[in-house]
Amino acid sequence: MSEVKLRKVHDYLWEIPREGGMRVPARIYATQNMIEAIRNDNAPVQAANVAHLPGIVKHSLAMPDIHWGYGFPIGGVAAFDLNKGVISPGGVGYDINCGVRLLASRLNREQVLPKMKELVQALFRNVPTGVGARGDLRVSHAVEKKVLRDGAKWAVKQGYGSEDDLEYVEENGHIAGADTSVVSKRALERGRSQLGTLGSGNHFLEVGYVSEIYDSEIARTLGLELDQVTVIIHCGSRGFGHQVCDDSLGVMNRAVQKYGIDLPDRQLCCAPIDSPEGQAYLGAMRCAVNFAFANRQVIAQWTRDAFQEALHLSPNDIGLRVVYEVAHNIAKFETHEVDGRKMKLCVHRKGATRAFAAGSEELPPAYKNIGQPVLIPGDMGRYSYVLVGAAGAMAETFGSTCHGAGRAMSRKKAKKVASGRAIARELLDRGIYVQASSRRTLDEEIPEAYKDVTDVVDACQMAGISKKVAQLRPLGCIKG
Amino acid sequence: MVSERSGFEHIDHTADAGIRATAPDLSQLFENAATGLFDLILNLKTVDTELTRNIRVTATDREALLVAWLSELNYQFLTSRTVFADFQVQEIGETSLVAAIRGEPLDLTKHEIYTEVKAVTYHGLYIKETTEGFEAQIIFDL
Repeated sequence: MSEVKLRKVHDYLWEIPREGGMRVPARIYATQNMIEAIRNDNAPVQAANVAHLPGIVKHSLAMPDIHWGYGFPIGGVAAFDLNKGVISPGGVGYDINCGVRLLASRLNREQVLPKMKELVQALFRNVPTGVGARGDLRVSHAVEKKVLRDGAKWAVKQGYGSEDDLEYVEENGHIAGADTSVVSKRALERGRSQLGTLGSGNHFLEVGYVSEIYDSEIARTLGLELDQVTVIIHCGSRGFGHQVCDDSLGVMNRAVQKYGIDLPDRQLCCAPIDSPEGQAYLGAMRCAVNFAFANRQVIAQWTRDAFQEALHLSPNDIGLRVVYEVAHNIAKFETHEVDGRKMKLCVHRKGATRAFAAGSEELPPAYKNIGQPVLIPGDMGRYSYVLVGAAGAMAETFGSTCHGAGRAMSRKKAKKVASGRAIARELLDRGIYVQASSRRTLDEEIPEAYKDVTDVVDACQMAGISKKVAQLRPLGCIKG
Repeated sequence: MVSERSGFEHIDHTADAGIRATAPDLSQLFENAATGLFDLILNLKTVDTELTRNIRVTATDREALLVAWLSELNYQFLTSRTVFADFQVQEIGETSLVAAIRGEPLDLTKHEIYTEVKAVTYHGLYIKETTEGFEAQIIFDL
């Protein structure tokens, strides 16, 4: 399929009608302006390709930040019937449980601004970033397996943060069903030295402040107020997850033949959920999910330590309570209502965030009446958003919304655009203190290399799948 | 244009990156692809080749062998903290190769590291014979 027909459902939703081998229609959330750009990418074809997979329920979905990905588009959501459906590593991505944690401090912008340089330097010292960075945590094989089974719970037991943190993490920072016996030696080896590291590319740790509030009641429930200093941690399961994905692709390619699954693109390789291959991937993927939960828990504690070092304040004065943590590359078993009937489904989210509405059982009691917080990072220079899940998501997107801005330029193009410029200096002129392991990372990650995340979150709000609560602007950032 | 001296070029891909390599024979094609991979990861000029490691890779076919070869090199880099800048493929068939690779232990104060390669993918992967020899394309997930 090289061209797709896009039919407008309403101002913020487009449909690729079912044709050929598609089992369901594909649907893309976007504004009229966005859909023109999306059309030029190969991503709508990918959304249509996903609709070919056995057991897919209702629609192959894509969020407004859709762009080309390996097999599945980034920004894709697909739910599968547990009996007839498949699990696909390409529907999760290489960086399994890449996610975002938001911490809220008790400090305001004025208190932190004069110390930003010291703070960013302390963060850079405390949190290993970039390629080849080793965490202080060089765990043994036996300990690594505990991390894979227990996730952030393991980290809390070791003194990184507290039990209270876990209440505000998706899955409470620990997913059941992690099977360490199906994990390769290579994955274990790649993961071992990378626990407690941020990584490179688009991952970052950002200090910012609440710059706008759109819903004061929900913001109050989340404990967010104007000018309050916040921290966003964006990272995932590091080399461990990359290797789990890589290992599974070979197995899944053989499974496709074994089970006679007809695919429009080899990269959609998958296996029936209840097959040995499907179960093995799920067991290994969940290990990676737990690795990432532990990783962010450890980094959050080092962030608190860095604030203490730089600001010479007590942990109590600093705060840095977990507002919430979301996963945006994951497959999970969830119950959703489909055509008036409750169904247990395997929901793949690849560059998409769970966005459960108010009333969902999975929410922490404090957030039950407001919906699940959704954290959408933007680029280094502009802003990020805090949203909550809305009823439309429960009705239409298996409780999902967008995950970020999405790139507007390739890395090569961004490097060209940044060439001859001092990006760190430019950001400093805008009041943002940045420290990165590699200058090239800064060049590749220049703000203009990304789309404006406001367009993405606005489209989700207009479509009724999530609701804007607050905007955060950066003050400082560390990167790989 | 593929530079004649280096035998590879970086190609543009929205979120990721790739290389296109050319060479008169298969051994050099694999060597050039390896140089292309490490040229993406770090500044090769900062690497001395004081240490040699011998490696052997097997796969089901020629394309898969290229992916396995580059994956092995990336794995060696990430887990043994050694950077490589010189690659010599000594024996190569359709499904296996033997090579000597040279480099030195990673030193973040000396080596200029650019990026991390998560995986070598099968997306857009090809090896084809041309009038001048061979050409290959590989996309990396960054």
